[in-house]
Amino acid sequence: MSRASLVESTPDWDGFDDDLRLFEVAAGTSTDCVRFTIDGVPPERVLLPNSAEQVCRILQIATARGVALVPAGFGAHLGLGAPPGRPYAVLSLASIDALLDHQPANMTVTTQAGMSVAELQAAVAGSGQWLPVEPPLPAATSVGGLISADLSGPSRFSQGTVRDLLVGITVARADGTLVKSGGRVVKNVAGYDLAKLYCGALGTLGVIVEATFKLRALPAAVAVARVACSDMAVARELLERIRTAPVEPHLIELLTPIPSAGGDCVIVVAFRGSREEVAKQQETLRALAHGKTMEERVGDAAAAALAELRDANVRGEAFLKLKASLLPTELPPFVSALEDASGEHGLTMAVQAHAGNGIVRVRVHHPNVEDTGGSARALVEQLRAAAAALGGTLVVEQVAPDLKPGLDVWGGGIEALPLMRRIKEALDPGGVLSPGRFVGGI
Amino acid sequence: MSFMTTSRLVGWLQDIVGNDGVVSHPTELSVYDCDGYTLEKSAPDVVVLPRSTDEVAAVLKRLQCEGVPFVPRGTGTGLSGGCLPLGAPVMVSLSRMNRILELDPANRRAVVQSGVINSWVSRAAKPHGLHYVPDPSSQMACSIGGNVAENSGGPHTLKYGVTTNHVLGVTLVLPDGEVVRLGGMTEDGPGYDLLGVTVGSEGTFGIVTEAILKLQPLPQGCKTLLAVFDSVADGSAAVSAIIAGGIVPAALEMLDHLIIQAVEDAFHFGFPRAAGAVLIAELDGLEAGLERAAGKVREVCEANGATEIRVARDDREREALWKCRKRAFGALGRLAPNFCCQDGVVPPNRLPEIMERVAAIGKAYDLRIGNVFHAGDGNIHPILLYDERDRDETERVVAAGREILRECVRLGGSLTGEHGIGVEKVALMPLIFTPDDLRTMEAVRAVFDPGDRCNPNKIFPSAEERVEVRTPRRQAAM
Amino acid sequence: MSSKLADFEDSGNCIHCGLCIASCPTFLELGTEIDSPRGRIQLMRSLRDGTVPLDDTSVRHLDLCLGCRACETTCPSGVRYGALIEGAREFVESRHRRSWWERMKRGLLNRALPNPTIMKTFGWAVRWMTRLGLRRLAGTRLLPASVRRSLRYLPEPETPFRSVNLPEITAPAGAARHRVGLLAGCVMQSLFGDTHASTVRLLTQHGCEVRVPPGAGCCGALPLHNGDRERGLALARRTVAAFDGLDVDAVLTNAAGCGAAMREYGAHFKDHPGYRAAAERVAAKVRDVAEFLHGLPEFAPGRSVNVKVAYHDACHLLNGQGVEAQPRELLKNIAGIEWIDLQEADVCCGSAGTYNLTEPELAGRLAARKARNVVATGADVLVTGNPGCILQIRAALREQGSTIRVVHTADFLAEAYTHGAQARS
Repeated sequence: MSRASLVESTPDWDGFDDDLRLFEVAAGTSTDCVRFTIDGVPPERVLLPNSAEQVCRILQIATARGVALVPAGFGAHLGLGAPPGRPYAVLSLASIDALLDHQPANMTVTTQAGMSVAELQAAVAGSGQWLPVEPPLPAATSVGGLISADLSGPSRFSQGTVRDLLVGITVARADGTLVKSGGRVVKNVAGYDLAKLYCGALGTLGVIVEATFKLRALPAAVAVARVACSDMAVARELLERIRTAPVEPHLIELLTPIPSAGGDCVIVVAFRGSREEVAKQQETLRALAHGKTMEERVGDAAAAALAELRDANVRGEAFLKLKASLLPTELPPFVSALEDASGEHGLTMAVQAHAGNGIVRVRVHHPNVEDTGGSARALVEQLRAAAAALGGTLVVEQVAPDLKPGLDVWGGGIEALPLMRRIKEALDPGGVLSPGRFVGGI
Repeated sequence: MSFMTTSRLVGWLQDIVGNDGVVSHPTELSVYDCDGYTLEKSAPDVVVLPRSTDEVAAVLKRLQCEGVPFVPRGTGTGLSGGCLPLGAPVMVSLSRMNRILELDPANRRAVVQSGVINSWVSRAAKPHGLHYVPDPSSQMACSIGGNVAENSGGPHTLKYGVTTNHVLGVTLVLPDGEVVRLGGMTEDGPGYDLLGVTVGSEGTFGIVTEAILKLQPLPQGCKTLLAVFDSVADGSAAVSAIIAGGIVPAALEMLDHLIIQAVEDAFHFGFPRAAGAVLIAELDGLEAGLERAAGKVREVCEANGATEIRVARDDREREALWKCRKRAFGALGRLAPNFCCQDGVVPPNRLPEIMERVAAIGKAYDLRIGNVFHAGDGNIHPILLYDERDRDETERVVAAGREILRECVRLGGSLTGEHGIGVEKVALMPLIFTPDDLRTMEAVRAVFDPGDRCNPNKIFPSAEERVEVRTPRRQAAM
Repeated sequence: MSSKLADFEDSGNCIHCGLCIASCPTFLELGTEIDSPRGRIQLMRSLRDGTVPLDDTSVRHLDLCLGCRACETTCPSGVRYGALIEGAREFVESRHRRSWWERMKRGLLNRALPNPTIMKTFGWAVRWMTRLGLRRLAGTRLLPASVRRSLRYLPEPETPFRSVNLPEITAPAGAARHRVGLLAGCVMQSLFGDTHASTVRLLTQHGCEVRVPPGAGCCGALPLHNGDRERGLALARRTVAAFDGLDVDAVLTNAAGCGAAMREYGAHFKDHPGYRAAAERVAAKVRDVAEFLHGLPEFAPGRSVNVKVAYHDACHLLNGQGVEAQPRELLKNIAGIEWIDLQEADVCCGSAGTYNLTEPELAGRLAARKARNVVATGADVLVTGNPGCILQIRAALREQGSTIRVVHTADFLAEAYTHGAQARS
């Protein structure tokens, strides 16, 4: 099915506005339009419903009036994905933000999608619990956005990603029906696990209004260590030793600038757990890193260092941000490919890899602001080919708005794309939700 | 199917998998009439045993041409009748696809064919200090393909998650014979998480022929405690307190009085026969923190009325203990000729309530019910004993099972924690899902299996059942 | 009705959970439900109820069972599968007429193997044949395939069949601390004389007086497993009589199948008031030689042996007698041993009594599977506690071009445990 056929009619914005007034849906201001601008194109409208019922209403109206909707939270992560294929309205869940049900004894929490991750963490921390997923900018990230953009941080090494924690979900379908899957208990195999479908779907299949997560106990102690390595070979060897050592790191990150000047490759390892566990592991790590410069932090200083690490990629300035997914052992060859590319294109880069997961985030800087379009495209193609040769994939996570139209952010060759198109067609036949934002123009 | 159609089909299938890969003799087919769920029986007309993904694809293409529905089967240890052929004349058995294709210790991955037995993966990974975490009690016999279909759990999933958290990719043969790989060796492939929705789809999307599994390092240390309580209520209170105390044991398992006796008769482990309940708490991870965590669990159990606490002295004792736990339900074969192992979930803090209700329901229906369950995640397994020759008792078992599940739902839980809906719980689905919820799931199913030919008549209730929940779907086979 | 047939009629308390499935060697190879323990029990129930005809098809699937009883070890419900399959075989033999060729083959095996005189003659003939190089015939096409297949099991010149005549009483090396009986057996004394000698040496050097009653030849296991109950019980009766009169602490065997069968004497004679008490007395004393040695407080290795060792579980030791840890511990106690875990150590090698002669095709597949696992260990020596397994695995290893030696537990232990013991005492 081609993208064009998903659009049923030209949007009737006036009718859309009239209908919305009837149902008293709050409209955003022009500031909101700026905030929710996607790749330089501002939304036609910003809608701020205050209930799941209103969300369903809006979806029905949008379908009837042929209006495209982009579900959003606070707009912090809208740079991900392709720009919408046609004029759109943003449907922000920011006002649907209640904590519905926290059951400390059962280690579950149910919240509306508009609550920020930071607020959610604060709410459950009182019971000594946390949602063990650390997206960048948690105060600016809604629960719905966390799921839709499948955001994760360095801690995914030990804690998994949002799909591992989501036990139930309520979604407004494109036709305005409210449906759920899963439930509020941590173990449940009744019916299909549709919650997984919405993870990382970028709002193309439905509007998430409510989610239930598993929680974990907040660990008592935390420690972070930065170990400097003279080059990738040394770093690789240390990673290998950590992998087989009696430690259970909270995260393992590899940081290196490209081109590397030597000695600026860093491995960050964090431990969380009981005081004994953390202390013992620090000791083990010291032995493993013997002879290397190692900087350690504990307590609040460690927490601050982890927050910095979590946000580094999003906060860091770059004209192009990439994410490669590889086998963990393919990290060093991919870094070599980055070195080669940097030489050829005269670029510098910053690499932050979730080393244990094989996830590599690359921030590409350009010494010369002119003519970045052509080289961006070429670079993405080249690195995508390098990742593919190593059995991996590469997506563009962020790029200057003017460069985006010419870029394939997701990459091609997705084997299951025909099935994915059929899923989209089954759940959003009118192509109302985030049209054109996802893989293959979905 | 008519005799003619069947014999033609047998010929075609033999062309694909060879003569010895097709079972069509009535005697040989008769033993495929049920899995571990024995309340309903129905034998297939043909069983085909492919050896490769290509053969599965060829078989399904042929069935597509003929419009013949089919049902996949692993080793047939399921407990909800998931591979019962209902309106599916052909059964595709994956038992010959039992090779571990690749073990990649450095990346902690294993690639296996779906007929590989769950415990083989850990056995193969052990020399590398790794294991495959999900460990259903049937792990010595159940297949990975079956685990993927049912999203199986097990005692150690409390801390580490269930099958879906440990599968990175599958090769799926769609009902039209097309082969598609979902997920992969790497973690974040772009696109919808079709893998996530395939795991737990109970074999209704097609046939999974290969799976890429995550392996995990074997924990450095392990402490296994056995706490004895006067009642299940006391034990349940201890479970809630342990969880609330911020400790996440690898497993928290409870056995009630009836089970303790059966298990003790069977395995002579040394359980106190008079105890009302025993709780097995296993802590694992780094040696450094274990002692203290175990001390804390001990304290909590004592504060909640534990009359005795034992610690497994060595691996052998620990293994013996787990052997008892994992084979507990089979030990009930000694108490009655038949049993029905139920599978419901409640929020863990409602365990005392549900246990009271289970006991009351047992009384009301005049049935013996034993309880062995994953207490940490509120996943209960009431085991209803009966004799299938007693028609009235069999009917009471079906009715009591349904009532127990209704209570689970009322307390905020679910119909199944790990066994699946299968045929067993189809009629109960409307208790937790609205018609819109079910329609959405069916829309997704139609994407994979537009002809409704792959494992038909499972999971989704018929139109009548959606209206009247209380009508039993089928009479139990006698 | 005999007790085994009654067990079969009752079909045990199988609850159809299927946990036995993957422990079954025939299921591992064939993948068909009817060739799994659960499938066979269901088949037996259907035969009992008459819902499935007793014909070549149903008999075929019962014949394919190795009787290794691995399923029994796994079964959580305590189904005594060994008794069920013996009962089913008795049922088959009493009501189903096999082809003349099958009848002749089975009759011959059930008569010849339990007869030490025939077996000794056979062993003598083979020794001469081996010297004359007749084993090479196995590689030529001069003989029919079935005969050539059987020739594979004949020994190499370096490990010839040898018979032995054990004295009725062998005195211990020092003071007598224990008195034990040892089953001379049929195949063991006719073809595995060296292993018998090792066994006696191990025992006497650790303070055991060894008694070998001349009346105890074949214990009856082979005919009993094959459904020839009458012949089996006659032999069993003789064995019981031979041992019951002896004042011994234990009745030892070094062939797994014999030990497993003798432990069941009580059950076999459950309904024979005249024999029951004696049968139970003897059965209670039956021990495998490794199991017994393991229990001796003074037993310690005297010598170090520098070899890589793997161990294969004979089915009737592991599943029939529950002997698993003891031989392993005895072997691991020897200084210099490099222990290697054999994958699928507990899966039958296909020997299974006379199975490799009656079902050569599947037996060959299982032997090849076993040999692949053995080769993968990279061991120098594979140790196991049963003569049938030794011949079967030797042949399969030879076919895969491996030079790994296959040695009986008693022979291996005798190497390490007797020399030093001599020096010490």
